[in-house]
Amino acid sequence: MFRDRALDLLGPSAKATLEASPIWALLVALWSNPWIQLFAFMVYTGSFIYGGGLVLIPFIELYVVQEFAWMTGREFVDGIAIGQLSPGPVVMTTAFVGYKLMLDASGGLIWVAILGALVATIGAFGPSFAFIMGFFPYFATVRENEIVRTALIGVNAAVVGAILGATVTLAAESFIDAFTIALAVLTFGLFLRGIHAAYLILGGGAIGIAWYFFVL
Amino acid sequence: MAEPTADEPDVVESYSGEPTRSKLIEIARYFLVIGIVGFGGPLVHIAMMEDDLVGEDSREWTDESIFMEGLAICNMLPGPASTQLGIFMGWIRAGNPGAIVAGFFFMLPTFIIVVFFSWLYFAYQQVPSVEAAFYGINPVVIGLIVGATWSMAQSALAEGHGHLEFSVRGDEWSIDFPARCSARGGCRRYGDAGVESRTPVHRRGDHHGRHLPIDVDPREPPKSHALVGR
Repeated sequence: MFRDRALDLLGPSAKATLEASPIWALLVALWSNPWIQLFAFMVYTGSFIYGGGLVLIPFIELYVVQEFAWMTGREFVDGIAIGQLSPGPVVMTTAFVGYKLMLDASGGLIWVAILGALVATIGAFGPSFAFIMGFFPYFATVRENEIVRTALIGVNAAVVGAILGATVTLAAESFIDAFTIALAVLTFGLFLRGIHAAYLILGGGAIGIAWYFFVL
Repeated sequence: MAEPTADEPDVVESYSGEPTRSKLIEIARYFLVIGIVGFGGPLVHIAMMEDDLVGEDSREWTDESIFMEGLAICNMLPGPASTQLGIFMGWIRAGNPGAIVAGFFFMLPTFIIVVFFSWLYFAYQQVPSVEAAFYGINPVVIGLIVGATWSMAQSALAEGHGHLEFSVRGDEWSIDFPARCSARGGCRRYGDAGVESRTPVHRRGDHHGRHLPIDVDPREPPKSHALVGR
């Protein structure tokens, strides 16, 4: 559990004290509110996606898909496609997550879902604003630190593993037949040859429609 | 501007600009445009900001050294670097209000597009043709993620290689490994030059793939991957 893991960081004695206190009841009550859950999770995600937008994938895969079960793996992969088709950063996929959660929570009200997308976006991008506006001078000093620099090299390598690990799980849902596997391999090759992601996604959609109607 | 000394608050304060109405409108307009036309990913956004806002023949919001410092820090921070750089440029231009205006208008077009597609997706998820389209899109996304991760892995692992570092009369020298020995004689290093944040910008492409003589950067260890690599 997301919650348990955060607690484990505090150590067992702090955990016991916290669970006995009335604040704990309040926290549990707050956590059961989907809006607070969405916002808190997005702030957490926005604060830790180090190493580029794709680092979002392991976060969402583990928590949103597996633990909270806000959406299926396939829906999330489709959401990444939507995030790629927009001009901005992949992190905007969080808006898709917020939209889906609130669409379900409200029983299909579009405006609540849009509000959910907004809350998710503010949560995910909020830390970025705070970092620049509040801590820029601090980071200017830290960046020069040799230890921090070396640590970040390690982090850069580690996120590759994290992304690939999550992708394996997602691929298990996406690869439903040989055709989809071939399409993924083809995409991999074309992407490394420098073809833009948006064209590949649009091409994939066209091929999918053609295959579905003419072959299947 | 020389090395910004962050531990002196006065110098740091001079980073961020004074907010005025006309400046905020200028920021809003610029980032709305860049948010709409910037298809092509974060690198395109960063290049556009550098072209339009920095140095001579531009709006001259700041100079190269501050821009590169900002870019380096945005790359170090968690979160999307291009958006953070936009927030940073707004902050440089007009302080905290400028930062908020820049970030808001930079993200607005993307937000609207994503919400629109989300609506379309969940409203018509069950329609056979939409289902068919995503039947093809789904594996494409998997391929894209693996492709992008592949590029990330290469730059991440390249960072891990040892650099030969030594100092000569107070200058820090650094040589990138692996240095390649070409058949036609002489050791040459393959790859891009170590672009450093405080030297004037060289686009990575300028150096990419060319054989260069062993490349030494007298200022600092090369960090070009960390700088523009994503």
